[in-house]
Amino acid sequence: MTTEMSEEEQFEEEKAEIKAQTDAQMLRAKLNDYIAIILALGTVFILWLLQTIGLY
Amino acid sequence: MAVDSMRVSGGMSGKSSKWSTLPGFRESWPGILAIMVIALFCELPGLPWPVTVHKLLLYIDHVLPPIQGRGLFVDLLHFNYVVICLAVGIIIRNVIGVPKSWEKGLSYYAVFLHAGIIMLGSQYLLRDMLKLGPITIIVMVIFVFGTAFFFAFLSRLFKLDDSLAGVLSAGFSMCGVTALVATAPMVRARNEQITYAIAATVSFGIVCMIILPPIARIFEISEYAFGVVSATGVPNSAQVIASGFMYGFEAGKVAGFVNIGRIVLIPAGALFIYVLTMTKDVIASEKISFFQTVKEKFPIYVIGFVIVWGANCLHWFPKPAVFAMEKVMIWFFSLSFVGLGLQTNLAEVRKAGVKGLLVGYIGGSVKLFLALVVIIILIKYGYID
Repeated sequence: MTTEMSEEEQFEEEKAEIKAQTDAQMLRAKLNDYIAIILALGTVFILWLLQTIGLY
Repeated sequence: MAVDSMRVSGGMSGKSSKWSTLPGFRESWPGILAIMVIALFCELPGLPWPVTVHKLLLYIDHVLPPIQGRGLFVDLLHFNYVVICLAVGIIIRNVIGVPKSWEKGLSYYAVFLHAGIIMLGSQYLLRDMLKLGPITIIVMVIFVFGTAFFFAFLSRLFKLDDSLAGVLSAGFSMCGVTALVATAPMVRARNEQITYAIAATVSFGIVCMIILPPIARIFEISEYAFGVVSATGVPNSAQVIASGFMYGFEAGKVAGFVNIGRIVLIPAGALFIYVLTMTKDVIASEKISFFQTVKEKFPIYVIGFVIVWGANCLHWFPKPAVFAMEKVMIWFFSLSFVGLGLQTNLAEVRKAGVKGLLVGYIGGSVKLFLALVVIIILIKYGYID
């Protein structure tokens, strides 16, 4: 049985696909941001600590 | 294969974790190590390393006869660590080629860029924010929304698809790829349209990075003013900061600081572009909430920047620590520029086609030209130093 997808169904499918792809990209960007925050704040803390205890 | 599918589905427990979507350490370390080693050989300021490209260029300048009393590469062409890191990255990618095993690690270049931007907060005090003044902020906001409006007009003139117009507009009016990806689902952009718009935005950013510093040198504008021009006219955060540092250290810092303002505008800009490019029927049927958009699209590393900046404003960091943070910030930027260069595939830009690139380049050039003119006028009337 051959059923032709209506234009609307095709559009909805395409929309869901785009959403999934962009959601994945947004999630990756958010995770990158979390790592960047940990990395930068960690570095700042270590430098501050070394300075405070007089090791640097 | 089995391990990969387990990683995607979140492990044996079936419990899905956001972090499981990141490339693992085993797949990423070759790329990350390559970035670090290449940056080390390009020159990481303050790190004594005997053989670097920067030292080689200094030697060549020393051997070659000087031009008007100055060395060719370092003095005249301003080959500093930013140019060297980017150029070496681009040459390796496009001439020698990059092994497949590096690709996943290279995708972490944005981490280094954002870590550098967060650490930029340690170089600023409240008085620097006040020095920026309302004029700079107003100019930046007008340019973000004005560019979006101009791109909507250009896209209609060139009969560009609404979705492509939306993503191009987002990329060129705000801070490039991040804004573009944030806007894509709202304007229903297809994957190839997103890729296309990224190619147009990034390639134009590279052109800006090459031509803007020499043009600004002709007008002898200050480093501070150049930072504002760069953050207003250049699309894509990485190239905003790179072009700033190419002009001078202070220009790079100002560019990064002003660019934060554009990043904060992403949710509002995305909504504005959505309203500009989508038809009334689509807008009426979707009912997108402003607060939901802010929650979803706000780049959270800005919070990290605010924390570091706030701590510095409260004078929590002693002077030597601030100096050390400046060095580490430069290292993060150097790593990100090497990564950016290694990811810049010039063949991808050639594949992108003409019409959208034309709209992007015309719109982007007009924006850049206007940014330069407006800043020069503001300098003349004493609104900007």
